[in-house]
Amino acid sequence: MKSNANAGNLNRRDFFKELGMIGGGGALLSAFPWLQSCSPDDKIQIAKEKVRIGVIGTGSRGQYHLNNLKTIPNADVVALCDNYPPHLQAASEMYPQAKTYDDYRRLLEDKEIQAVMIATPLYEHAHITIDALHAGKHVFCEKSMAMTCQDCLDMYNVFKESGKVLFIGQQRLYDPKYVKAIGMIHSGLLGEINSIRAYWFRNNDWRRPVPSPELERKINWRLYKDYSCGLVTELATHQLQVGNWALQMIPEKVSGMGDIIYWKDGREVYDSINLIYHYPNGVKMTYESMIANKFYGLEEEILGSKGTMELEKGKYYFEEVEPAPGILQLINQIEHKIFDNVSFAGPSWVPETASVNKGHLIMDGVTSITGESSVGAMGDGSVELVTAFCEAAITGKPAPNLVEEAYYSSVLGLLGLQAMEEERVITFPDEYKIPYLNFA
Amino acid sequence: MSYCNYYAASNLFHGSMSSVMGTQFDILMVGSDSILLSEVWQKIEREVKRLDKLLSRFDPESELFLLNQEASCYPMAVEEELWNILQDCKQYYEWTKGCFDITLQGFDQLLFMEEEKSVFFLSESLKIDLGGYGKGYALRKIRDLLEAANVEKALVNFGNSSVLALGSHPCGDYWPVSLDNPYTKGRVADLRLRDSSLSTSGNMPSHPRHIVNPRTGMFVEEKKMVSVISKDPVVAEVLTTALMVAAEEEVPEIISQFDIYEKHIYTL
Repeated sequence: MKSNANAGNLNRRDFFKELGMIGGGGALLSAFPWLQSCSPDDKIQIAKEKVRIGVIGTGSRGQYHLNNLKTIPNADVVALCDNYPPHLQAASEMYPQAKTYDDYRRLLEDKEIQAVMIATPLYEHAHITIDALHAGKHVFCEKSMAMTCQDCLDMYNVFKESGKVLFIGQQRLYDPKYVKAIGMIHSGLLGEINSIRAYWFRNNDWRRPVPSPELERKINWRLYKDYSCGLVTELATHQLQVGNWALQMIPEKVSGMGDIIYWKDGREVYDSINLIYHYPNGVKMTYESMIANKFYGLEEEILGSKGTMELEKGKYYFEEVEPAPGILQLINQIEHKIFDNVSFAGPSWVPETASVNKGHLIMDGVTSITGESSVGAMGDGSVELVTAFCEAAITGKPAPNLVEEAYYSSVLGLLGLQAMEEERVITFPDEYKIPYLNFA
Repeated sequence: MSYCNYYAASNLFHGSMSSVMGTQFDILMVGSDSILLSEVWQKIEREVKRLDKLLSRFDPESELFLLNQEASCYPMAVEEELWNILQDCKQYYEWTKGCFDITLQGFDQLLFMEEEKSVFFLSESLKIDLGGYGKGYALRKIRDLLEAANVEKALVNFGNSSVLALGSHPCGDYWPVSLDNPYTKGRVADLRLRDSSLSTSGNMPSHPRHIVNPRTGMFVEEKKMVSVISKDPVVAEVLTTALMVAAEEEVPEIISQFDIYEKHIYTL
């Protein structure tokens, strides 16, 4: 592939182009249908078109998207909305031509606007999404979907009735590293999956500076139950989605415990949570998040009978039989344009039994994040996700299965919270099952 | 279990299968058309799995398994491909003065009936084992698939003991492959492969007795390793096995029957 200063981005785009061809001719694409919401023909047709976007919620995450939108040719940011003037001001400086609003309802009345991106605090996701869909807009809403299972379901139902495009900000669905890795898992690289362990650790109080005391809840909404569900909605949903994706199943039960153990500063949401999700086949996904130690960072560990994968690090390990080591060495040399003797030929192949298993990279140029930022990281699939949203908003074709993936991760987070608050095992309620995977 | 990966920056396709023909299979193909390469990979995967099924004497569904079960009771007709393989093996049995013998106990107890293409075992205990032939045969088929698809540079590693090289390494004039002493791990030879096949046979610390001399029925117990490079992967495969058991003075006469590039016999 062409190499230039922008090689990283090029390779990511090329990766999606090639997805259909690697691993069984389109098998990957049919396994991840949201990636083909925009066909190559569509792409050519809409190459010069732009979707007029209004961004609702221009705080840190909103500004992160606004920054990314500048690199997306199909995006035209025409309106900005926030009810906190400093955030609106900051966004307006990035897009001086865009109209500004302090009430999203006024923005939705603007017929020029075709699509909205919602990056408000969690408690506002559901009604803004529903109002926007009713107003005929295509919607991108940040994850998690909502604060209650009923709100998530309402969003899903309105989306289905509206015929509009809805995207939820589960960027791992568009992260090449994840797409490749899950494809490898589905192809049987790890054997049968027998356990999933996911965690996210940070060591900070999760607070933003507050200019004056009456703004505490507005700025630090993540810490209060009226606005947020804490770690389950802000962090866990990303990783619960990965577990379901790997297993192609939705868990049917959850139990767990949550506490405030370290940051006893008046916050209402837990700073320490441990959850166990139980899948129909008996496999468990354990989830831990705690924000008073960051040593282990974040990870989703997929434990199979033949191997193990660490998705955030982009590495996998074989349980016993390593691929012929000489071949991996040779690949590495060719990648670095080295021509040298590799010694692998011999009487027959004997598996390496090295005591230290260093593992293999899922793909070349793999990047991983520390998970310390509460805004967003580079190269985590967010740009691809928003690009796909812009394309879908132009063609009007929703991305298959994307909302279903997001719905279940959001609802599972909320059921986990319920399990911790009520200190009991919660069975997935029938009334919140939407047709997908084992709940179809 | 199989997987593949395309390294776009270096135009390199890697396909890998574990647990096929009793070992690991890896292929590297160089080319900028990843669609074509993944199609070739799928064909190769299918072909290797098909041959594994055809040639395995342990698979109850294989033709060879059935032959081993039935042919001592009545002359059993075999499909053309297996027939041709058995004829090929007969030729090699003769050329190697019996050092290469797929029956491991007496090729003369195999009766071939040309007209019906059927085979009869004169001994009830006779079993055919194509273990010393199959990987070479598979590599020959793979080479045909690669050539048909105009893949010009490729390296195929069948469990380290059978290697096929097409064209050259992307950064050189040949594929550089080295051979280690399995006892000391020290380097024995740096070999150059180009449109050729390397086969290696020998004893290892983990497997000190695994090659049977068909003429004596005894294991070869010497610390010995044989490598042959030839154009035809089957020739390399057959000869390494034969030279493991041949007496030193027979070697020149045996190899004079074959068209080979290099042979190496090491005492380890």
